[in-house]
Amino acid sequence: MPTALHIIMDTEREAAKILDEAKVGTEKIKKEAEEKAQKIYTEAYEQTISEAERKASELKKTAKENAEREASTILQEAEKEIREIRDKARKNSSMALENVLREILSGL
Amino acid sequence: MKEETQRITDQILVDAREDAKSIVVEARKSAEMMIEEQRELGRQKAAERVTSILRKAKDEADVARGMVFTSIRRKAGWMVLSEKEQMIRKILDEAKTRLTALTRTERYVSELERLIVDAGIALGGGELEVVLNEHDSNLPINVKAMSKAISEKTANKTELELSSKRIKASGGAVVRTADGRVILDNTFEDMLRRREGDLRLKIANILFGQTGRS
Repeated sequence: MPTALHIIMDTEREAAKILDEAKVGTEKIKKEAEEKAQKIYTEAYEQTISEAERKASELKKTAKENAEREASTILQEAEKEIREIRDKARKNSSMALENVLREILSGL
Repeated sequence: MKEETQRITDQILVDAREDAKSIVVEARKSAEMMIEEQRELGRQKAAERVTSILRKAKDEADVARGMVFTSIRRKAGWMVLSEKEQMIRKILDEAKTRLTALTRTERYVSELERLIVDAGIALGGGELEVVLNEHDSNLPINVKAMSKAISEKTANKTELELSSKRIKASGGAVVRTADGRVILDNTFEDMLRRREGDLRLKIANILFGQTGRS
């Protein structure tokens, strides 16, 4: 029949085993966490870069669209100038033609 | 005694289990913290590159904006210039048509004679040869009178001779010294070609009320 001391010593061993198992468990948690942390680091890095690249692309697209919209007024002004040129030319073409003929014929 | 022993062993096991549980809970908490730290670290590490990406994008956007304006300004300028060019070309083409039409009028004979005399004077008189196109070679031009006019103007006895050769031109004449060394091309085509630069300026000035080459 075991003595009280033996019983307590056995229990102490059992308790140590419980703690050892817990330590093994924590090692596993730590290892898994390290692996996951590396993955999370990479994901966070890549996601941040990807988001920045999306913003960069949007920035360029918007800038180009704005520039095209603003610059379209230049074309409108050119079209207006062309209309004015046509009006002037229509009024003055006879005079210009006569002038050319006079220039050429005066040289004859 | 037995009960006392049981109480002690129970307590030992309870303590061990609580300690084990604490260890695991602490390990999980630590793992979560490590993961969050790495997440933040990843973001921070990327932040440097993000700044660079956004700065580059802004630079590229500025360049693209400049290129859009440059391209549209060039296009606008080209549109205006092209329109002016068409109008100037139209006047020059019309002038050529009118000069060609002139060769079918009575007035043309005197104009042609004046052309030949002017060319003869420019060449300084002497023995000169006049080359005409097929149509003009059949016109009743007065060679003697023209020779006399050139002689008077240059104080050099002049003899004009009509060449049997023919030129391809709508009108006007080529006058050359008898030895063929000096030639004055006063065909309509050559006169228009020679003076096109000046004429363009004058046409532009009249058509558009401006100076400067168009």
